[in-house]
Amino acid sequence: MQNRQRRRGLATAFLALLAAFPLVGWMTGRMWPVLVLLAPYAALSVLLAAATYGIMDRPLRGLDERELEQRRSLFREPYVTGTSLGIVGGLVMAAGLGAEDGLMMGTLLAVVGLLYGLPSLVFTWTLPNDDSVIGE
Amino acid sequence: MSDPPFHSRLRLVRTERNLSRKDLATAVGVHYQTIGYIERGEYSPSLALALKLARYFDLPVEALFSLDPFPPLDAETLMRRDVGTD
Repeated sequence: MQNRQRRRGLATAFLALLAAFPLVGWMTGRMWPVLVLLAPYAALSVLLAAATYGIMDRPLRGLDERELEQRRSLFREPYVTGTSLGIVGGLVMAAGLGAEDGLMMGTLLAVVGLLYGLPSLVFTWTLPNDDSVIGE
Repeated sequence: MSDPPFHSRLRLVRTERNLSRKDLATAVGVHYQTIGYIERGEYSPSLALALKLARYFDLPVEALFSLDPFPPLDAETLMRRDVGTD
């Protein structure tokens, strides 16, 4: 399988996990099953960072000029998207205040997780296949 | 598909000298994927990086990069190279 397919699989799994937060909260009506999902969330976040050579996470001085440009170019759109999602998240939270704890916690974590992970997700999805180290 | 913003002979020069992307990347201080991006015309190197690459190969920068397509290697050029290596 090519790197790009693997990366996209990882991004899909990340999104599925985010969707599971409110779903689990709604189904169980409790907070702890939602919090348990933080463990796979952390693991998937690390895998996403590794799959993209940590371009979104490494310190700026550790990036070369092409990586720096990719990182900067990615923040333009996601910033706008993130802001919009933040507003939507706020509305969802406000609506969820009347709901039970599990659903509220799940929704909150899903929105924050999406906002935090969006640049990595976009980058993971759009990164082309890796070049070979040796080169032909 | 649109033309790349510049044309590069980096891949030709690199492979001719039996250099891996990793070796070249290490020599000029970038990630090896960056070399691939430049070779495919997907990333325009900064002036500093272009000069570093040219210096590494001991070539003028216009021998590696051009705004116009490089002419293909013709038979006469190849013959000259064969004679030169004899």
